Amino acid sequence: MSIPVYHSSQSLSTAIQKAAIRIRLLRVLKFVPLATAYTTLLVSVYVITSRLHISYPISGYSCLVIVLLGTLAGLGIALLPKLDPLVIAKFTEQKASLQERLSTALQNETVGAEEFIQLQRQSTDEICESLNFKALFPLTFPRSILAAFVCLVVLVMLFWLPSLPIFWSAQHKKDVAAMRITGVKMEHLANLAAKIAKLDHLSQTAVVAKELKRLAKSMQNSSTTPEKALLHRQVLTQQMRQMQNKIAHEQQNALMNAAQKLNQSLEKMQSQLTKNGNPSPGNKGQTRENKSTSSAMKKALKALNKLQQAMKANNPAAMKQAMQQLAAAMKQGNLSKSEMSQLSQTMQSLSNSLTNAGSPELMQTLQSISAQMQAMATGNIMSNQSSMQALEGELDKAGDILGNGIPSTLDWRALAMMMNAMSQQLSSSQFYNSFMRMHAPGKGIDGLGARYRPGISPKDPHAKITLASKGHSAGNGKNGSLASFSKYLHDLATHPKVLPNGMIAGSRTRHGNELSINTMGAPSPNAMSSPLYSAIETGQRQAESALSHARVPVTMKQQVHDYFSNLQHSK
Amino acid sequence: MTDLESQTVKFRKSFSQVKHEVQKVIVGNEEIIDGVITALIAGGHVLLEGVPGLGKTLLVRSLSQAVHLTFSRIQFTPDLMPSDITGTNILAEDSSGRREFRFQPGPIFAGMVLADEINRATPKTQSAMLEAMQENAVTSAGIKHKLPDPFFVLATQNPIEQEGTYPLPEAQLDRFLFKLIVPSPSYEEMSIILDRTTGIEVQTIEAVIDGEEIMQLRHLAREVPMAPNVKDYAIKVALATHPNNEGATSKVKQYVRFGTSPRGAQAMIASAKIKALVDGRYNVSIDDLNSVAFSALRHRIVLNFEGQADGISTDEIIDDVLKLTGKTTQVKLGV
Repeated sequence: MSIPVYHSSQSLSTAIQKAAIRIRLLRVLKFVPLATAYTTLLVSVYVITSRLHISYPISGYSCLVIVLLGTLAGLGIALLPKLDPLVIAKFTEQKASLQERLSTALQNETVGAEEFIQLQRQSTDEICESLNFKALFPLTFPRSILAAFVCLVVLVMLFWLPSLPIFWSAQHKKDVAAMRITGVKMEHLANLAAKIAKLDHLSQTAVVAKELKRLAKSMQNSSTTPEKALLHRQVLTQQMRQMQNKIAHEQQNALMNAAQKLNQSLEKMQSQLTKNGNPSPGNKGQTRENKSTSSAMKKALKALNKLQQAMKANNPAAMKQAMQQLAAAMKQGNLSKSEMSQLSQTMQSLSNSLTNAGSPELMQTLQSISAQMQAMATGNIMSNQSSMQALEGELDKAGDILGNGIPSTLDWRALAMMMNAMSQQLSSSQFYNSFMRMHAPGKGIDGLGARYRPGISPKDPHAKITLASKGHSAGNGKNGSLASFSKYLHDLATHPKVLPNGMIAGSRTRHGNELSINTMGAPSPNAMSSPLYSAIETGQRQAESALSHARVPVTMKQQVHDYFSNLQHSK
Repeated sequence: MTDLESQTVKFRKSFSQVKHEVQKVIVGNEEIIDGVITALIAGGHVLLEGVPGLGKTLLVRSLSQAVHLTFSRIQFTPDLMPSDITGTNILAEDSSGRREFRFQPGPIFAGMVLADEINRATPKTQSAMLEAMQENAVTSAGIKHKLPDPFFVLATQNPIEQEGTYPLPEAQLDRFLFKLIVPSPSYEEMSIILDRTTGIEVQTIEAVIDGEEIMQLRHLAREVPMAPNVKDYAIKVALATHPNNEGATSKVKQYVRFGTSPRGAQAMIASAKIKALVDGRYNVSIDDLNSVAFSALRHRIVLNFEGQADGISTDEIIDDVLKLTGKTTQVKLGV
């Protein structure tokens, strides 16, 4: 096929160029909105089907991307096809009723009619110069723009309208109302926790209280959905647990370290006494001179031994008792200067070893005791009644601090209390109940991409409920294990704005049309309402109960059991 | 103004003058008059079909008066012999008493011949016109006698009186450039006809063009350029009338037995060129082809039995073909 050669004059070329530009513009005006309208229409249909739980949910961002792709496709359709000059000429002829003048002038292949061709070209040039392309190809407002606009409005409405209260279902309205009430309660709790944290200098509690207050505010303002709020609460609980673990670990380490140091100091003191000819507290062959001294020292050593044991077991009550015994021993008096000096060194060592326990007040008190003892040993102050009372007072103060729990322990307990309170609030609210009830099939958590997996029979009691992020295939690669859910929560906590994929194990009710999630929430409210001093027992019971019901790896169960057993044993 | 331009101006002027003169007598029927003048310039012959009394013969007589050509009228009858038309060799005696056969030209030897009621003659006589119409010559006793140039046959036929008539064979029909259907006059036209024919005033027609000028106009018309896409359209239309062609419409496939011959496309293009010049253009357009397609093709399409039984006219077939072919040539850029 030969390539056509066109012999166009300047006027004809210009006319064809102008016509080509106008045609391109008209095509853009037509095809871009048209493609946008069609794409938006298709996306809208898909969104409707997803709203009816027929298809997988789609995010607004994905919709926007698809619509933009459609618009780009329209632009491609409008601009990509090459427009041949002859085609443009023919099209212009049709529009302007030029009776094949342009195409004839462009092709002019008639042989032996040169004169006629010249005449025809001249005539065509005159016509080309007189053509009004604006009138010929008017850039009018095509109906496709209106159609695209309407389709876009429909799409936006499909996302926006369901968020309006007027379109909420009765269940959703109930959920939101319950969420607001819970938000108010949670704010009170957060304020209380913040106050306690400020008074007792509880840094971790202060952080959690702040976060809790923020969540409570968003729940009150309905700036979050009930489902998201509950997930956020779950994440917060998880964080609190981690904080508790960290506090407990640090405190345990610090106390263990202090107990170890105290033990070393006691051994050193023991060897020093033995070296000086003093018998050990259990030695029956002691002299009379040393007997009274040894009696006071014996009591002091016994008290310090008990303190060391209590610290090792992290038993505040025992620690307080030990300090009271030490004070009683000091009150008995008659300690030699060297004994006093040794005790001073021991208290100084204890103070140093409790640096990481997170209690400056305790450290300060212990240092003060050490200093007073040292002063008595060096004779700078007299071991009279008043100085001994002062020392006794300091020892009692240290005992109170240890007995009441050092601030870090308070942090741990405050967090537990908050978790308990949160659990109480939520478990008693309609909000919580509605969250725990997931309708199936297909009725998942709107907005989170949760839905019932269609491949699983409704009769299956171990159905999996999928929590998936926007733009990801639901639960892709997840097996519904607790570890998977933990990872989901962890990811959610790390990147709260991006919902990760996850799948959690659920179970059906006897009716077979509801799904519930087995979650590891806070301990049950009844158990945690016990006094703080029985927190360990309660905690253990709760932990073991939770572990027995949830799907927790055996190693983790063992770890928790050992932890509480240790606490119990030390008590 | 160039020489060519002045020639084209003269072309339009001559055309309109002839038309004006004819219209002095003939009321309405503008398309018929245009068709007849176009055929005259294109060098083709015209078959006029219409019921009696519509002025077919008058039209031809008026045209013959408007153009300076010798005119003869042949009234076709069943007993008309071919030699009655073409002429014959007769025994003639000269002044010296010597006898010889001499060719006596028939009425066909004229610039303009009116073959009135051509379908009343026998096929034998009708076929006597074949050579004359195609080759502008008559062969008698082995001697070819050239007809005058231009030679223009205007035949008439009555479509309603079928008794004792002999429908023209396809070969004969194909010789006609146009077949023009003369319609009945409208109310206004009838009123004017009555005024003109029942009064005292008699319109006189003047000869405004002679044979030589007609030949010049014919030559000029043939030079009009035509774009390949327009020629392509003419070809497509002609081929689309054939039932076995790919471009044939469903109607063509159902009702047509034979499509047009190449003479049909030739007739369309030749007459479209004249129409372009008359319209003041220097190129042939698709509209020109469409406007002459009915006249040029309607007698060249042969309907099958089904078409005849269903009362389908060839004009319906042509209309269908033009619509379909027109669609295929339309440029659609989506705007």
